[in-house]
Amino acid sequence: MKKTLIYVFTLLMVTLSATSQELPHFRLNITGGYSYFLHTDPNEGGSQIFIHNDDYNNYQRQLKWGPDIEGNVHYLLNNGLGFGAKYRYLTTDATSTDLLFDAGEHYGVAQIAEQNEIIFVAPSLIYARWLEPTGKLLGTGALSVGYVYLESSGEVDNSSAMFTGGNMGVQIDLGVDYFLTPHFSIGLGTGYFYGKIKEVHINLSEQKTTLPENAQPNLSNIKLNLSLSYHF
Amino acid sequence: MQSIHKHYIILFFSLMLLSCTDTYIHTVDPPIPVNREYNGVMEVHTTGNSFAKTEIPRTTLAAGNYKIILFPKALELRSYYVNADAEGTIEVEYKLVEEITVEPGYEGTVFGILQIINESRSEVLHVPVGYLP
Repeated sequence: MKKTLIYVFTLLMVTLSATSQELPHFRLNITGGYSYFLHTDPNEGGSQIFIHNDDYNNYQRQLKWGPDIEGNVHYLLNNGLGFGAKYRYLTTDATSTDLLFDAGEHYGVAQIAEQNEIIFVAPSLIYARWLEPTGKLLGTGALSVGYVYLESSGEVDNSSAMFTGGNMGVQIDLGVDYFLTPHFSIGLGTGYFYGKIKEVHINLSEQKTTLPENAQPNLSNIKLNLSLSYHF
Repeated sequence: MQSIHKHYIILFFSLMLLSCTDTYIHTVDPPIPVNREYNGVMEVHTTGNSFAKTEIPRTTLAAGNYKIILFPKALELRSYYVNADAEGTIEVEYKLVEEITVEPGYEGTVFGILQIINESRSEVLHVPVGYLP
């Protein structure tokens, strides 16, 4: 543990000292990849509705992963700090599956499918630093706090319904850009997103529904993306 | 998404309950199913770890495809989709590992129901499930 801390500290000091190159002022970035959702188990929160079997596990696996695409625009100051905006779009779907649920003395069978779309729009703060003196590798870290919107449409035995809801979301990003030319770079990015939907609108009702704590969709996810950036 | 499909289940059953109201009748398709009772029993017995077949004869259901939507917890079904032949006979493959308690003096016991629904979801057949030691 002590060695790890020393290693991280040393790396940080080397990184912070690599300031010989001037930073670009604008960074336009488009990135895409896959997100891994951390909370997809409907039995979380204490209510054991669904029966664990192969179909259930398969349904869960489908919801765990989803593609995402993201756009970022930032203005960087000379000290490496910057501000801008972020737009992120994610989806995660599960195909039609027969799930068993506990109906008291009996098991019930429901054929369920769902499609989820998540949009996150936020103002964003960024910090960028050259990671080495030649100006080829740019390290970035960003914090975005904004609005997350969930649209979830599902089918249960041919009856369909749609939930929509929004709330505040937070995203933390870390990335590395490798400059192919003075203006263009490719990169690798990772990040953590947190957002929980507390109130939903169901398309069959006029009223908004406040969800109990253990039934609020938790959209937390981590991502691994490839990126293309233009700097000037 | 944590609990999204839980919402669908809750919503689905809420809609089934709401189906008694005029509001629901005018806003949601498919139609309210007609529930019928089967005059007989689907007879089962312990099977060990293998599946066994049993027949539900003369259900009065038209020939076609049906889905099982409810069954006793003691049973394991190979498939939730069944077929009725021209005579309305339905074959179900099940597994029953545990023995069901039968009171002394009786030949067997009814321990649950099996619900079968048609494709248009307009008709539900309730079939008593009985255990023969």
